Amino acid sequence: MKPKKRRLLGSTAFILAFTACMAACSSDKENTDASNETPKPTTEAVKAVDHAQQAKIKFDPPVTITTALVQEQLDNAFKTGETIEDNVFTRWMKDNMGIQVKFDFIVGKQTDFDTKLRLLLASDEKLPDVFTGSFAADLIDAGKLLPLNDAIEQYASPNLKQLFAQYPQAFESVTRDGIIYGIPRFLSADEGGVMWIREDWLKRLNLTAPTTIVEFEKLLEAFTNQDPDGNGKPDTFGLAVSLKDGMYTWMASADPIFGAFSDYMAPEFRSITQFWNPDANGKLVYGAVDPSAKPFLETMARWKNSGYIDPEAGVKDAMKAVEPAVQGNAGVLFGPNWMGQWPLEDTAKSNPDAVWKAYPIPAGPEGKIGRVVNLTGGSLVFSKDFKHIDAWFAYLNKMYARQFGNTDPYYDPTFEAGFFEGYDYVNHNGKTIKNGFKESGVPQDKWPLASGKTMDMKYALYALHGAFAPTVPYLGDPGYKKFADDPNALAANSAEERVKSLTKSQLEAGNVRQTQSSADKFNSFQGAPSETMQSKGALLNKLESEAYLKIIYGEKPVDYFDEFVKEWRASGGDQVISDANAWYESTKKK
Amino acid sequence: MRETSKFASYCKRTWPLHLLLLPAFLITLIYQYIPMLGAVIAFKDYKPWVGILDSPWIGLEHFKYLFTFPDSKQVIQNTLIIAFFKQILGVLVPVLFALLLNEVAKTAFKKTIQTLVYMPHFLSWVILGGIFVDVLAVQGGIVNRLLGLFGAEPIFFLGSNDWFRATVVLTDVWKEFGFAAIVFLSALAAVNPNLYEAAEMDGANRWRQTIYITIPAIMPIVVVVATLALGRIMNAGFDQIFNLYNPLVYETGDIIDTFVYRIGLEGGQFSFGTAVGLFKSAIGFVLIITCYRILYKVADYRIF
Repeated sequence: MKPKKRRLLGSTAFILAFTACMAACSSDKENTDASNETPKPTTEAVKAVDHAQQAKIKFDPPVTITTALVQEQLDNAFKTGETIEDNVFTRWMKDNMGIQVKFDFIVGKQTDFDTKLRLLLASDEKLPDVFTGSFAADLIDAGKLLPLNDAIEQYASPNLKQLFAQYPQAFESVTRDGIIYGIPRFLSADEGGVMWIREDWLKRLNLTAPTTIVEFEKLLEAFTNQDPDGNGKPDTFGLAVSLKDGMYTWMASADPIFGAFSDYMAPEFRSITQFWNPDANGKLVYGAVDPSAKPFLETMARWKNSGYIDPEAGVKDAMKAVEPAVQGNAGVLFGPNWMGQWPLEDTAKSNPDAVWKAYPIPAGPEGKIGRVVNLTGGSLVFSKDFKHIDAWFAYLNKMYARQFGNTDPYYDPTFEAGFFEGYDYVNHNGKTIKNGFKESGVPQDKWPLASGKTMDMKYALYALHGAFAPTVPYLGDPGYKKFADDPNALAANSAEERVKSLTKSQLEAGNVRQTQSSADKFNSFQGAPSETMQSKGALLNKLESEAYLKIIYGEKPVDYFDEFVKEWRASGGDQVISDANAWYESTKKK
Repeated sequence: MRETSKFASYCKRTWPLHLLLLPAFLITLIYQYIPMLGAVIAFKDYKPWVGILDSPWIGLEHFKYLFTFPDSKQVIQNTLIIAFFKQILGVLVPVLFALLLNEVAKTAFKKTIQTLVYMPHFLSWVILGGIFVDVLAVQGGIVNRLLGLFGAEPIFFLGSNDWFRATVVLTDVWKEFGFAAIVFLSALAAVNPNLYEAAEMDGANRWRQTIYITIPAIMPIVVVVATLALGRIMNAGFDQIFNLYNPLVYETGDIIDTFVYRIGLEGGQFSFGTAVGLFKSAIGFVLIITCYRILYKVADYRIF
């Protein structure tokens, strides 16, 4: 019974996929050569619109923009009776801007989103007007996307254009032959790792926080051998770290240690496209195979051998790797400032005295500091049949204006305090309250949600931006200090408003992080994966991950690194390096 | 003339039965056979926006690629070894368990045990993966603590190439044996009690009864299950390995499916994935046919 059922299920899915493909072959013959004609950048100059005028625009008759989303289940995204298709913001958009939002499809998982998109592509059906550009390179190949050079020139607000000019690298993954096909979704760039230390352990052992790797090693030694939790058992170690998915991962990461030894970024074993950074001669270098990784590996192997780091770091992903820290068995880990709330706050459940404190990441023997930071979270792309890019930019400008502040021509004073009273904020006794309604004494019938929770309005407000809040990198940084000193200070813009909502430990950690912004490293390779990267990438990543872990686990000597690099280069690595650099050169020519 | 009328009367008599069969036949045709045509993309450089028919033919390129890939030999070898032991133990353990449980006289006890052991079957590997990382932990994992009581050095089950395959096989057997035993238990329940009574009269003890009555009685179903299992010899269990493996044990634990997953993830290489799938199916098909023939000759047992 069981195998039969599984087979049936499996085949149904398989078949569904294929029937759609089969249906596609009949219909898209005439379209096969669409990929060959590449649009040319227009030569005549395009003038920007009058922004003061454009800011007040209301489309009449209303314009419909279709999109598609991955929507996770949140119990605080909508009020009862409201949906992603019909809520306070969609109504506002329709009434005030003449823009109607429609959803072609909403799915629960990214993989389903990608499958759906591939099927639309395969069957040559209409793509959503605007959507998150998964596999953008294929979409560009297929000639399905709208070129945006002119639209950006015409419709993007002056502040937005300045932001785009500031981070040209963010566009490179969606640029082909000088034509831009996507708008990057910038992140706040505030997730760079800080060093979290058990402050109570430091105090018990009379130690100070390390500032260099040498001191850091001493701290690891003390946390491992000197019974920092004072229970008389040798049940602690120093560093909680995840090495399974790479030297960089989203928490309990080893990237600040790598950065102490190398100018490049700590490798992530997931894709050959990350991470690449230019050397002094302007050539892209793949950090994992640079000789500077050798002292890093030597150090890690020594720590592993001495029992300073989690003995199972190599089999644990990030979620698993933080567990010893939360359970009170490990005293140091690296990760973003938000970790101060979750997961580290839970440490106090089993160890009431536990206090985690954030410190700057330690410097290497030559004073190097470095960590991995992501600048963008994908890009938005547009169907080539989309007729109202002006309407979309009117929306984007308005959303970004809250970040840029009230001097932006698109700034809407009605959104001064927040978006909608009774949704993302409540006015009570002359004060604007954004969270903790119960504690602030707001009567229950005025709470946005019956549960008293703060609403997460990303699906309502940012549906046309892939459910990502439009963000300017680093803009919220001044807020970390400001709100740590005075929780009631005024936020200068919406980026700082977000910072204001963080907990005290998160604010302090964020403040520690921003003192080291110079350590932030972004991936410099943003091109589409070359043919060799696609065919050999998995093999190269495998070589890399095996070599790194075997050296750290002492199964191979540190000198094995040279052998690994030779093999890596011979197995396609040389070609990948030249592909990456060819792409890098092509971006410089523009 | 006579033949035709015989056939006609046969049809007249049985057409409702054929009609009943028709939906199943159509569904099999539409959902099982027609899609097999899609397997042609294994021989093409398939691009979704170009379509199946218009994608250029590239012959056996993908198969060549599979075999020239430096890791392929290792990966295929891992797959076969892990799958082989899984299939062998996956039949032997449930049979043994069913035989033992069958000897238990108390129904309540028997039912409780049976329910308990088939529970793990319903847990997904995503959950079990996390549980096993804890259970098999070097420091403080329950298994290593038990071993420690006997003075053994802690074993890094999930990170050691000596142990990984055994860990994978045994955890899989642990998860599935209870559920797999259901088939054998029902076969045991169907054995005619008269046979046992007669044997007792002849003075056979429990052991002899098991050897001469029970085992021969369930042999056919064991053969069926074992033969069907052979078709899965190239499937070493993606869900499980994907959740348990890590770069330290690629050498012994990386299987075809995880390997293809990593390659596919990089660039959505449909054609290559299909080629590998086709290759796996072909091997499975050959194995089933061969074993079926052998069983037919040796054990004189036929399924089809």
